[in-house]
Amino acid sequence: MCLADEGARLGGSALGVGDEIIAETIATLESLDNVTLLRRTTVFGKYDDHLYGLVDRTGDHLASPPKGGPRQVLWQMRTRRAVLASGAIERPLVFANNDRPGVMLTSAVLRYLRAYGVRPGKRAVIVCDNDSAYEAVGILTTGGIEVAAIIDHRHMTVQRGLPGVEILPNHAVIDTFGAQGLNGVSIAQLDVHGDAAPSSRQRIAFDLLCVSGGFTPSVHLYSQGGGKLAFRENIQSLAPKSEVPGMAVAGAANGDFIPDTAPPIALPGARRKQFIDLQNDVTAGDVELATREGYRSVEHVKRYITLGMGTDQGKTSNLNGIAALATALAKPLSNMGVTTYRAPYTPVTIGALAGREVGAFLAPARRTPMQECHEQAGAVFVPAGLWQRPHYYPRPGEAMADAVNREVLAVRGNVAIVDVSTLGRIDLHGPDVAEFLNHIYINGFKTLAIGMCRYGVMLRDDGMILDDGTVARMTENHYIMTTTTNAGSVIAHLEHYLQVIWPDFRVQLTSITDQWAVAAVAGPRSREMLQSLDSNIEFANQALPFMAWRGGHIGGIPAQVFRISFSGELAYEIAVQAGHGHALWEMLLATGEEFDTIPYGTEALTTLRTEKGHFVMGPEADGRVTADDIGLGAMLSAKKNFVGRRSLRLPGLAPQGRLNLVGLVPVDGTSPIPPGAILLDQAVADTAPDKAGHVTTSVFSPNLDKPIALAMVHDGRQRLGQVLWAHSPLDHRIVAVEVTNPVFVDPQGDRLRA
Amino acid sequence: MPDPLTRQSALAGVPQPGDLIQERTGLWIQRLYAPDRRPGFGHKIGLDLPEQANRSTFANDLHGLWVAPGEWLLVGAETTDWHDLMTHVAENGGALSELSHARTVFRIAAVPARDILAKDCPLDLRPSTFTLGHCAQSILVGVGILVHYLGDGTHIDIYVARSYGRFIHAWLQDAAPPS
Repeated sequence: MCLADEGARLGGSALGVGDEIIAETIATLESLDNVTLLRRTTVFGKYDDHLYGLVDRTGDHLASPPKGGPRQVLWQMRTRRAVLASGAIERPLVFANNDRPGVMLTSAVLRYLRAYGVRPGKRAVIVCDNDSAYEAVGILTTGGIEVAAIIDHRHMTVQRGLPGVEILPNHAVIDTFGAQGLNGVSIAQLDVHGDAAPSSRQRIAFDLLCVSGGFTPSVHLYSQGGGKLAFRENIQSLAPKSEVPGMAVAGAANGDFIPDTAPPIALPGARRKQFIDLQNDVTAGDVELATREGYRSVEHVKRYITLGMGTDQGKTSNLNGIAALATALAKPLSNMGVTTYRAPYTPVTIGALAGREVGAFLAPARRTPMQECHEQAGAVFVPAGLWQRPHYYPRPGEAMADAVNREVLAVRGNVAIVDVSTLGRIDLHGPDVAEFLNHIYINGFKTLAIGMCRYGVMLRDDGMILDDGTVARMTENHYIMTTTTNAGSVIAHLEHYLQVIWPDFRVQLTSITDQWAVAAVAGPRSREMLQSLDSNIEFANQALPFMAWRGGHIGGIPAQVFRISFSGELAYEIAVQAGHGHALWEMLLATGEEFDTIPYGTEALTTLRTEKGHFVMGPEADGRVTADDIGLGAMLSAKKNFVGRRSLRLPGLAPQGRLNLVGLVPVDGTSPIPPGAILLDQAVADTAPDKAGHVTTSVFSPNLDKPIALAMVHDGRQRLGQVLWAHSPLDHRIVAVEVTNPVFVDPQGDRLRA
Repeated sequence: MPDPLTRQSALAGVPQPGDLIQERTGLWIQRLYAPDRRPGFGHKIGLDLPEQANRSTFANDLHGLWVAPGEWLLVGAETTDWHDLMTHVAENGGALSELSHARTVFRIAAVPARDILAKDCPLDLRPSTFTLGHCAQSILVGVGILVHYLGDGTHIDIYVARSYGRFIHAWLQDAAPPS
C-alpha cells in the first residue's frame, strides 16, 4: 500500500485539529513493511488501466538539493484499488476588486495560522454563504486575529454565541478599498431576489477579508477515470455520482461533509473588475461579453476568455465561471455541464517526466559489431534510424566530395567493402513460409529454391510500397528476409498479417538483425579478392551465381555468403555471427590490401544506387508510391493474390498521370541539380503552373563525370528526352534538366552477373 | 585484429567499473517456436516448458523462458553440445532461431537491480509480484528488454539486443548507486 500526500506533513485538513490521531496513524503505518508513505507527493493524473502519475518533490524544499539528485521524481503506479481522499477546495466569492491584497480564502488563512504559524492580518471580516466560516472564528481568535464581523449571503442565519462578532445576515460585500492593502469594504443588503440593493451600502474598516463561497470537491482523478458528475444543490457543486472500477472516493472529494451552501449571487456593477479567475485575470464582465458575442458552451467560453486555463487549471474559478455563465444565459447552474478535468492536477516539471532520458540517454544508440573499426578508420558518421552509419571515410586533407568520389570509383573499378549490418534481418521458420511470402510480396515466392535469393517488394494494404528487400531460402522450411533499416515496421506488418489475418499460417518470425554482422564486398575485383581468402566457399560464377547463397567458413569463421548487389556491381554480402564481425571486417581489409580494398560509406552507396536507378524507402518510395510508379509494374504477379493488390484497382491508382521514377541530367552537363527541387515545364513561374514532379535524390556521378538525379515526374516514362526546369526557391536556383531513363549505369545488368 | 574464432562481446573494450553490473558471456540462446509440438516434447528436450505466461523453468543446465504463446527463449551454455536437443526440436514439430550473438545479457544482484530498473522500467519488480522464476519483456530508456528473476532469488538477468548493449550498459552504470 502506498499513501501519497501533497503536504510535507501528513494529515491534510486535520492538521492542527487532530494532531494526536495523525501521529498515532503515521506511527502505525510506518511500522508496516508493506506501506510506503510518500510526502510532498501529488497524484497528478489517472490514466488507462489503473495507472496513476505521481510527482514526488524530493528536492524542491531543500536549500541545497543533493548533488546530482533530482528535484522531483516521477512515479508511475498501477493499482488494484485506490482510495481518493483529495478533499475539496474552497471557492472565492465574486465582487468588485476582489483581487486586492488582504482578500483571502478562509481556508488559506487557517492554513497560514495552523500549518505555518503566520498571521495574515490583525482585524478580519468574514464574508460567506455557508456555515464553515463560523467554525473558523474560534481558530482566528486563538491565532490573534480579531474577527469584527461575519457578512452572510443567506437570509436565515442560525443564532450563534460569538461574543464581539457582529453578524450581518442577508448582506454581501460589493467592493473593496485600500491603496497598499485592504483597509475597508463596501457592503450591501440583499433583496428578496438575492440582488444587492445599492441604497443599503455601508463601509467597515479592517485589514483582512476572509471569503468562503462554498467548497468544490477535487474530483479530477475520479473524472479522469471516467466517473460521471452530478450537480448537488446543497453544496452548489459537482460531485461523483457513479462508480469508477478500482477506485473509492471518500470524504469531501465525494461531496460529503461539505456544509450546505447558498446559491451564488450576481452583483451589479460589472464595470469594476469582479475577478472569477484570479490567476488568469478573467472577470465576470468577460463571461458576460462572451455570451453577448454568442458563446454558449462552457468549453467554448473557457477557451475564448481563457477561464481556468492557468497552471491552477481553474481549481478555484471553474465553478464560479460556470455560475456566471448560467446567470448570463438565464439557465439553471445544474444544467451547464463542466469542462474536462485534465492532467496534470498540479504543474509537473518536464525534468520529472523526462527522468533519466536526458543527455547521452536522450535516445538509444545502436552499434554494429564493426562500429569500432569505423571509428578507428576516422569515418564521418550520419544518423540512420538509431544507428550511426559511416557517411564516408575521409583521408587526411580530403574533402567530402573527394572521399565519396574515391569510394564510388573504387566500387565501380576495383573492390570496396561496406557495413550493412544495420539492414533488418528476419528469420522465418515453418511449413507455410513460402505461401506466406507469396501473400506478402507482389512477386511469386513459391518457386524459390534452397540456396537461392529473390528480390521482393511488399505493399501496404492501400497499394503503396511498404518495403523492399531480399529473401534467401536456407532450408526446406527456413528463410531469411532482409529489409531496409525500417525493420521494426516491417516485422509489425508481418506479425499483424500472421496473427490477425491469417492465423492458420504456421510461420515463426524472429528479428535476427542483432545476430549477424554483414559486410558487402562490391566491385569487379570482389570475386578475385574473396578467392584469396582462406575459405571453403567456391566463389566462381557457376558455383555461386547471381542471387544465390552458400554457407561455409571464411578464415575459420562460419559464414553465409549471399551474391546480391545494391551497388549494381559484382557483389557479395558476407554474414557472420555478430561476435565475429569485428574480426571479419579487419580480415577483409587485411586480405584486401593487395587489391587496394577500401571501406565505403552511405554517401557512396547513395551515388552508386542512384547511378543504377535503385529506389529507396523515403526519398522515392515516400508512402504515396506504387510499384508501377517506381517502374516495377512488371513484377506485379497476375497469378496470385497479395496484400495491396485489391487497392491497385482504385481509379486513383490507374497509371495515367501518376508520378513515375525517372532520371535527370542537367542540360548544360555541369550544373548540380538542387535536391528536393520542384520540376516545372517552364523556366519562369509567373503564374501558378502545375507541378511536373520533384527531385528525390541528387548526386554527382564520378563515373559519368556529371551531376545526375532521380525524380518523380507525372507520366515521366512518356517524357524521356524532354526538358524540365528544376526550381529551388530556397537557394534561388533554376536548372534546366533532361528527363532520362533512371538507370544510368549498366542498364543490361551485365556487371552484377559477371 | 581480434582472434577471429573468439566470440567478441558488444562490450569489448568498454571499462566495467565495480562488480555490481556483470555481463554474462558464453551463452547459447535460441528462440524456440513450438505451438504444434508433439506430446512428450519437454521430456525429449530435457526441460518441461512453462505453459504460464512470463514464467521460466530450469533443468539440465537449461532455462526455458516463456516469451509468447507457443514460443520460448532457451538459454544455456555455449560449451554444452546441444546437437541432440536441436534434432529433437526439429523432429517434434518445433523450430529454433539462433540468437546467441544477438543478445547482451547483464546480471545484477536482485536488490540493487530492482532499484536501478525502477528508475525507468515500468515493470513492477517487487518480490511479492515478480517472484522467483518470473520473466517479462518490457522497455528501458526506449529499448526492449527481457528481465528474468532467477538463481536462489539472488539476482536478476537483463537481456537486450546486442546493438543496444553498450547504450544500456552505460545507462545501468549511470543509474547504479555510487559504489
